[in-house]
Order: sequence, then C-alpha cells, then structure tokens
Amino acid sequence: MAEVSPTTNRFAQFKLVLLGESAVGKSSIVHRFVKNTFDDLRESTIGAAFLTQTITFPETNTTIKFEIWDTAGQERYKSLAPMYYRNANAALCVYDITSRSSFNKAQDWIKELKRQAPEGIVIALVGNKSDLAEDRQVEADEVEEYIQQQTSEEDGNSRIITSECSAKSGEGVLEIFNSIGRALPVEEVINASSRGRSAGGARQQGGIDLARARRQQAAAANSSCC
Amino acid sequence: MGVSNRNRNYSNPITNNTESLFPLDNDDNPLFSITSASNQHNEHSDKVHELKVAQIQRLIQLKYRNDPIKLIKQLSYELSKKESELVLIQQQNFIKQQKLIRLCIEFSNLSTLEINQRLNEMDKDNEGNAVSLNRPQPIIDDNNNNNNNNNDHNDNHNDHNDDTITNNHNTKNVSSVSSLKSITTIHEHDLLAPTLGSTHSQLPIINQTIHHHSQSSPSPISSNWLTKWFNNSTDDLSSSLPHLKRSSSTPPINGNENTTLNSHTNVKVPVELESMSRSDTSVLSESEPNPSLAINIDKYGFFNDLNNITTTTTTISSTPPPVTQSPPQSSDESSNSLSNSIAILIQNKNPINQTINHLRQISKTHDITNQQIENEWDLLIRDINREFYRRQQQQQEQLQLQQFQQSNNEDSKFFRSINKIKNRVIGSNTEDLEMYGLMGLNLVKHDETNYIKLLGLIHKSGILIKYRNQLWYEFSNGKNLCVNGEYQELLNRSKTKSEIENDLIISKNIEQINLDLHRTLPSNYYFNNLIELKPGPNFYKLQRILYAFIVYKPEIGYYQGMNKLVANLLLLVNQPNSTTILLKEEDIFWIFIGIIEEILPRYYNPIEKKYELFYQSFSSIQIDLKIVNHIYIKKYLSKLYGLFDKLNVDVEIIILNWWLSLFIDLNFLDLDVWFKIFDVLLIHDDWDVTPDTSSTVAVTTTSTSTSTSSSIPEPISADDNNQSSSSIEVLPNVIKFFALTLSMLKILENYLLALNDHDLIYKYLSYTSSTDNNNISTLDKFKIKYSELIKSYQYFTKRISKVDVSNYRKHKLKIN
Repeated sequence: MAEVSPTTNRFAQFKLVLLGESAVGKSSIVHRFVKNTFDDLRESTIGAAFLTQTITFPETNTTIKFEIWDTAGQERYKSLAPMYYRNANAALCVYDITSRSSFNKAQDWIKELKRQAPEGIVIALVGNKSDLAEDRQVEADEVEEYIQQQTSEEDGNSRIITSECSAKSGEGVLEIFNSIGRALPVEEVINASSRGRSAGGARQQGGIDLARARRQQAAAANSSCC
Repeated sequence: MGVSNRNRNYSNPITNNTESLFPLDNDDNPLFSITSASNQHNEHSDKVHELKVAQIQRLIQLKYRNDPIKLIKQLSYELSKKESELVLIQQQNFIKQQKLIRLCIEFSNLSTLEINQRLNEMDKDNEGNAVSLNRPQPIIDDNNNNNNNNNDHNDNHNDHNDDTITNNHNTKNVSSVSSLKSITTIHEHDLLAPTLGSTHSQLPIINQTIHHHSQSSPSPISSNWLTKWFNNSTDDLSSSLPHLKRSSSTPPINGNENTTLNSHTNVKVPVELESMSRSDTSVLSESEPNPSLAINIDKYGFFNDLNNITTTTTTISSTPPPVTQSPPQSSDESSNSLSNSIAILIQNKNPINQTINHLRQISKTHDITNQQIENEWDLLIRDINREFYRRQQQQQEQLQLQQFQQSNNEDSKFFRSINKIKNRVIGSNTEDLEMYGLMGLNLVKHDETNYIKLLGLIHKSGILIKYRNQLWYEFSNGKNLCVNGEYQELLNRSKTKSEIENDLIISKNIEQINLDLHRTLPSNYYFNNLIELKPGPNFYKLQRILYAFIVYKPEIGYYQGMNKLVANLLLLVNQPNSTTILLKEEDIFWIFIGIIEEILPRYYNPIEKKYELFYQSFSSIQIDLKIVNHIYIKKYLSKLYGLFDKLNVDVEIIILNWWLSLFIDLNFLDLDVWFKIFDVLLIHDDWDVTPDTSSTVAVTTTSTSTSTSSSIPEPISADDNNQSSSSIEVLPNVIKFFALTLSMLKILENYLLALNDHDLIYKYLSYTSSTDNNNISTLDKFKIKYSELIKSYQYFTKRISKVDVSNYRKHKLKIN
C-alpha cells in the first residue's frame, strides 16, 4: 500500500464492511476495486477477508485509505456480523440485480445497520451484476422508492448511496467507493489527527467516536465485553 | 556394426514380453503381412533367418551382385523402417494407456474390477496394434550375421534403456545425446537415419511402457501398475516420461524442462522439507503426450500455474522454479539429476557447483529421514496389527472355553448347536472390533505402549500418507458411524425432500450448497477441470456428500466452510500413496460426520441443557475467543498482546476466521501441514496433560468399548463425567483449538512483531482464498513448519487446563 506522505497530501483511514447475501459478488467487487481484476475462480468467503485500498481526491488533495472487511454472505453467520461492522465508518450492502431475494436481504442489512451500527455510518446500497441486465429482477425505480421511504423515516438524516455496478466489467465500481469517500467525514478526521497523531494509530483516526460505538456495541450484541 | 555385445545378459523387454503374449506367427500380423505383400521384392528381413545358408548365398548372388554388404544394408534399412513403425504403434499404445489413466482419474472411485474392465476394453482397442509388436524372434546364433545384427540392435537399446533407468544421476541431456549417438552409429548407412534418430530416442520409454503393459493384463497387477505409475519416483516410468515429453513436443527442448517434469512425477511422503514446497507435480496431468495438456498440477491436484491455463492452454507451462530459491525441491532424486545436468553443463562455475552439492546433500538427508520415518510407521502399524489379532484370538479362545464349559454342563445337542451359532455371531463381532477406535481410544485401552508410540510418531511426523486414510477413518469415528446403505438412502431422501416434498429447509440448504460448489477449490483439477472446462469428479462427490449431510443433520444444515472441509477430505482420496484402504465417497461422508460430531469442539448450552455442535455455538465460540485473547495471549504471548493492542488489531476476529475455516487456507499453513494438524485433532492426546486424566480416560475407554457394538459411542462421556463431578463443561478438542491457535501465534510472533503494521498483520493473518495467494507474494513467504508447531502445541497443551477454561467461561457468563 503506497502511503502518501502527509506533508504533500492529507490522509484519512476508514473502515468499510461489505454485507449482503451469498454469491451476490461482494468479494468480486472488492477485488475489482483493490486489484482491478475479476476472477472466475473465486472461492466462497468464510468468516471475512481483509483488504485495503486507497483513493485520492485531487481537488481537495486528500487520500483516503479503505480498510475493507469482506464478510461471508451466508445467513447463518449473521450473528457474527456485529464483530465486523463494529467501528465501521461505511457499509456496502450488496445485492444482485438478477435476484429479488438478495435485494430484500440487503434491505434487512440496512435495517440492522441503522439499529446497531455506529451512528453516522455511511451506507451504500449497491446492485451488482449490471452486466446481466437482461435477467434483471430489481428495477431502478424500486430502489429509488425504497430509498425515498427510508429517508422520510429517518428525517433525511443520512441518505443512503445507491448505485449499480458490474464487478465483472468493472463498470461503476470505482464510482461507488468515490461517492462513499465523499460522504465520509474526511475533514473531521484529518483535523482530529492533525491535532494529535497517536502512535501508529491509523485506526483511531476513524471519524467515529469510539467510546460511543463501543457503548452501542455492548448494548446491541449480547456478547460480553472484557 | 560397432555395437558392443556386453549387455547381452540384459533381456530385452520387448522380445521377452511379446513372446509370451503373442504367437510368433507372422501371418496373423496384419501390419506385417500388408507391408510384406506390398514390398515383397524389396523386403525380406522377416524371412532371411529362415532361409538356408545356400539360399542366402543365392539371394546375394542374384539380387546384390555378390555383395553381402548390400544385403546387410538392405536388411538394416528394413529393420530400421520397421522399428520406426513399431515406435509409432507403441506411441499410439502409450497414448491409449494415458487415456486410460485419465479415465481412472476421472472416475477415481473405480473399483479394481472396474479398472480392469476398462483396461480390458482398452486392450481390445489396442489389440490390432499390439499384435504388430510381434516381430520375428531373433535367433541367437552368432554365425548368422543378420540375426546378430538384429540382436545387437535390441541389446543396444536395451543397454541404453537400462542406463536411463538405473542411473538416476545420468542427465537427461546426456542420455539423449548418447542415445542419438548410438542410433546414428547403428544407422550409419541408413537413408532414414535422421528422422529415425528422433523417434529412436524414445524407444527406451516404449520398452518400459510395453513392459508394464504386458504386466497389466492379469487383473490384480493392473491396479498395481497404475499406482506404480502414479506414485513411484524411483520407478523407471517416471524417468522415461520426460523422454516422451520431449518426443511429443517437436522442437528439441532444453534439459530444464525435462527435469522439471521429472521432478513433478515425484509424489513422496511429505516430511517437513517437502511441506515447504508445493512444486512437486504428479504425473496425473500428463494424461496425454499432447503438449497442450502438459499443465502443472501438484500432488493434490491444484493447478500450479493458473494464469497459463486460463489465458492459453496451448503453451507448455512447466516453468521450473530457480534452484537456489527452493532448496526443498532438491528432495527429489530428479532434481538430483537436474543438479547433475547443471553440473555437467557448467562444470567450471564453482559457486553453483557448491550449491548443487549442498542441495544434493539436503536431498539425501531428506530422503533418509523420510525413509526412517516410513520404516518407523511400518513397524508400528505392524505391531499394532499383530497385537490386535493376538488379542482377538485370545478373546475367541476364551469364548470357546466358556462355551465348552457351558455345553458340558448342559449336555445336549440342541444347546451345543445354539452355542455354535452364538460363537459364530460373537466371533464375527470381535472381528468387527476396531483396531484404533474413535481418536485411537481402543488403543489407549488395550495396547497402551503402541498407542504412546503412535502418538509420538504423529507428533513427530504426522500420519504417514499411506496410513492416513485408514487411521482417519477410525479416529474420526467414521468407521463406527457408517451404516451400510445409509448414505445412498440419505441421498435419495435429499432428492425426494427437495424435489417432491418441497421441504423448505432442505431446498434452502441445497440452494446455498449449489452456490458454493463452484467456489470450492476452483483451482483444483479434481474439482474444476480447467483443461476440459468442466467440473471434476470431486465436484459431484462434494455435492452429494453435502446433500446427504443436510438430510442427516437437518437441525444443523449446511454452513459455509463445510464445503472446504469436505473438499480437503476428498483430497485424501486422491492421495495416491495410500496403500492401506481406498476411501470411497461414502467413507468420506462418514469421516466428515465424525469430524463434525466428535472432533470439532462441542459446547454446552446451559439453557437447553445439552451439548451443541461447533456450528451451533457461535456465541460460546466468541466467549472462548475472548479467553484465548485476554487470558492466554496476554499471559504467554505478552509481546504480541501488546502489539495487537498498540496497532488496534482485533485478534479475536482473526482467530474466529481460523476456527470457522478450520485452519484451512491460512496464508502460513501448507496443505500438508493442515493434514497433519488434523492428524493431531483426530488423535486423543491429553494422556499425560493433566493429572486427573487417567481416571477420565478410563471412563472414556470403557464407555467406548461398550458402545462399539451399539455403534453410537459417547466419547464425550469423559467430559460429561468431568462435568458431573465439577459441574463444568470442558471438551478436550476445545483445548486443542486453543493450543493450536496459540502455537501458531507463538511461531508467528517474531514475524508479526517485525511486520509491525496494522494492515499487513490483518492481511497476513486473515483468511485469503488460495486464488488470491497468487497476488500476495510478499506476505506468502513465511510458512509454519509442523515440527515447530507441534513443539509449541505440546508446550501449550500442558499449560491450558480444562478446569481453568471452564472457570473462565463461567466467569464470562457471569459478566454477561
């Protein structure tokens, strides 16, 4: 990971988690973003995989590093998800545009995130496999309708980013991460870190009040805290 | 002809074997009769030896103007022509055999009977060609010039042949050169000499092929022949393969390629050194001498060079790893020959020579250690068998004695016959008695000394591949769980439930399984045949096993990760070195069940008041992760604990991944080591860990021994017992998971401290699929060695007590 020197560039790091039904293409999206490759021979993810990637916004001279947790999709592992989205700054809820059930699943994830994830988490609802448009089961206006409904419920506090992409062709993938990057509280984090860079502490720079996140975590997850 | 007779004593494989197989009747030979019919006035080499001396003289007079040299030339020409024909035919033969091998791989569950059947079919196909191998048997008559000539030919090839076989140090380059030389000397006067030379160089191989082919006709040997073909590095076949390789790819190829291929044929018992490199590739991929199919596949069936396959299948993708970078490679004799060839090629470069010598030494020691370990295993297994049968006999004798006394008391014919039946029933029961039992507990009970030896040997080297199938089948309790016909029944039920009854749970599980099938070992030949772009045989086996499982245990159902476990178990079947028992798909299913039910940690659910399986216990697992982290890592790996704290690395997430994936596909573990880790998980080994185990073991063993007949043992009874005495639940395999986890971290400690980077540590420790490994090269370097792992493991098992863990758990539960 090429880390850009802070003197020439302003730098912030954020934790991003991918959620969504099995085989919607979470890992493929990440690999398109991180390595710009698409692999037909992808193995199913067990637990979660960890990857990082940076993006740069030249206009603000800012570099953002995403610390990505790519989780396993199977419903049965759902109880473990809080381990992964705790302290997350952003979440990508992925569905497959050719699968209605996966869209419903993504909505469930959003619901759970709003209830349990750290406040201010940036949520993106992403429809993958846009290259398979002829088998489409989820229409764009449906998504829009859902988003409208969500924002009215939530007083427009945090609008969900929506997008479609194809990990296979690469279309739209980078755009998603760009718009997430723009939605993240980059300035806050940079200001906070410039006030006092903690030792090696990339993670502490996350724009989220950790203490509050932990409180939420403790309340939400039934597991104990040491 | 300038050909020496010194190797006359070597019998020619062709002539020897064809002689016994085919009648020496030329008229039955279609090829020969055709050629002789069409060229009757030109060719007579197959008849000359039948002529009388006077006739030959007349022939020379009439046709060759009194010049015998011309006759010899003509004969020699004809002979070489026929030899070239022969070579072609034999090549075809060879291709067919390769196809057969491929068939066997594809249907790798074939029984010996089925293989024979297929073999016979192949033989029928080959017959036309095979008959043509029948050539005039040279008459050993030194007075007969022509025949002598003929004979010399054979001897010469034979001689050369033996060279390549016996002398492993002979380089392929040199041997090919020498063969070419010898051929050119033979065919000095031949018009065909240049073209023939190229085909001739393969003759030695083909001799071998035929040699084996003829052996393969009787049924029991045929499978032997196949296994030999697959495994044996010292087998002459492997040394012959590179030749074939060369002949199939038209331009002359540098020695490197040959030797690499050769090294790939070596499938040896992996001891530590070999586990460091996964470069050894089996012959399996060389199913046809077509260069486009010569793709690197390692001994587990993984494609070594995915990029080459996916992008183009027409290039030969065997790129030998640089010698200096992979010393363990030298463990094969073949790389010995590689080093030799290099040595000869660049004799004057001393540093390289030194390296080569060094490598040769390493390989030698490696071979010796391998051999020693194999001997130890052989001896031990023999002893265990012996002791088992001795015990069995004793038991039977006792029974007979009892019955004899009984029948004496009740002196009636009726009772005696009843007793006879009883005896037979009991006798068969004792035969069914397992030698090792679940986790080897039968040994603990009956054959303690051998059990301790076995445990020691497993800790030393892991289970030897050839015994792993058998031992896993028993240790996992698979053998005990297996009920004849049940697997098939389960499969049928899964079909009816999903298709006819529309069982929602079953179909949901099947949906998920189907999503994962294509995503399980996609880079392995047996799961995804990238050469022919179709699923491999193990793909369907995996599917069936998982389908059967969800019907067998609907209350658990399919969890992602099970696919990986079953897939790895299926790789056991493809381990060619297993000589003890051949595991069938059904057996793998029961081993899988055994592992899920008995080997993976089980957790006590205080609300339900019962034990739950690993996959039902995520919340308990999370508690255990905290114990590992905040008790044991803090205590025994304080530097790491500090590092993780400093870098904000959540080690519990990492360990969770390790546990969920059952240590499969971790960056720092080779597949060889993974199998050995499961060897450790599968054998009962808290024999001398805690002082109170002796009593619990006693309880355990009695419970298993009583349950062997009832087919459902209760191996956890030790813990049940433990629990009733102290009202805590501790399972030994949780301790093993603890100890394994800690020892891996212990070994990685310095490496992680050096990394000293949040992202790098996560990337290195968190699970990455094997397909990603291609990209992570820098992180991929450090691999854990089994010997180191086991050392730490023993250290930690002595320091983690069941009682402590349960106390910690209770403590956590209280906090909750």
